[in-house]
Amino acid sequence: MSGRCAAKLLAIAAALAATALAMPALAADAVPPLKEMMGVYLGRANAKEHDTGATEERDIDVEVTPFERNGFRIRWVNVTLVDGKRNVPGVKRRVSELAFRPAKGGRHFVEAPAVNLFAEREEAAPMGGDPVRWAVHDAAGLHVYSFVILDDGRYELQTYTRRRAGTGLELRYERVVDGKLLRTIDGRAVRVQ
Amino acid sequence: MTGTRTASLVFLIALLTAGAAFAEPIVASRGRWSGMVGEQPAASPLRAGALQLRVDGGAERFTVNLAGAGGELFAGEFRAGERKDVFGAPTSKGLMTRLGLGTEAGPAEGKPLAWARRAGEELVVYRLDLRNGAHRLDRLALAPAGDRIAVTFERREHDRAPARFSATLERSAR
Repeated sequence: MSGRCAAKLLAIAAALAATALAMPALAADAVPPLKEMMGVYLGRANAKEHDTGATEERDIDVEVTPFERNGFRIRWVNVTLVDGKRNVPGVKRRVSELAFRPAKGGRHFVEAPAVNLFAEREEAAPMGGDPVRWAVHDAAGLHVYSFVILDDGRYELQTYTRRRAGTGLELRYERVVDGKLLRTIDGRAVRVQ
Repeated sequence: MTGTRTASLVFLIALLTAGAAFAEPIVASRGRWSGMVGEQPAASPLRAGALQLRVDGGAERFTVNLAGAGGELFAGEFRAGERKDVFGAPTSKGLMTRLGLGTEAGPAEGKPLAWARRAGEELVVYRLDLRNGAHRLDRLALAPAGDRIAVTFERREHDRAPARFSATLERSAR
């Protein structure tokens, strides 16, 4: 290895170390056990498209359940209403589900890929367009992130925040593309007895 | 004859002007740049102040370093990839991965993800870090124009409002 190459590697290592030191750590506030978040929540939310100003109302159904030993599974159902009703033509229903397990050596969770016994396991390739998903459980609540690099190199970051609020959750969703906020959803849900 | 010569000259000038107008942004960004960030909100976590930007390399492989008054803001190395105008970080797989005994770490496992894209006359570089349960997503856009370069930096972090600044830097001596 040439001296110039070694010096370059040292410079990169120093830069990475400096970045690691400068990275904000997750707030060390007392974090309630994750199991307190487990449950089923029902509520309503308003979605807003920021480029057009269009809004829509939706019923939401969030279910947080245990996954493996220390992970969790989150399943959410969105029903987009028509004139505030869900029993008329034009209603749309969308179901999403993700499972997370604790990250090795980290204070966050990483997505547990769906098990397919008939498919060869492949590593996610963010530069190839595979999404990177992670979750954080902190004193405020549960935050789920979905990140992807688009074909043209721009990024899309979706953030789902479920904050503890009395007997339920405050919900906030953001869709950001290359730094521009395109869509938000705000709502509330209560825990189902 | 004179008319033909004049037309050729006009065409040549137009061609050169068009070439200058669509300068390749990586090559045009190369060098050292410095300048000041204007007023920032008091609550901004970015202590930018006096900025120093350095871009080295060429259109196939390059590095970008941006530092402010509070220290380094952005550092990344990029290499042309399979997609046109999209650049990834040079790959350096560990021994276990090369032997097929391990898996390559991704951003969710703490390995930073850096990439870049070229869009017309603008170069945009990115970096995603996820450590200690908190993420940091940086976006730095560079738009060179002669001896000046417009810089727009944005940082998104877990549970914080986005912080950003813009500045125009001037080419400084090597």
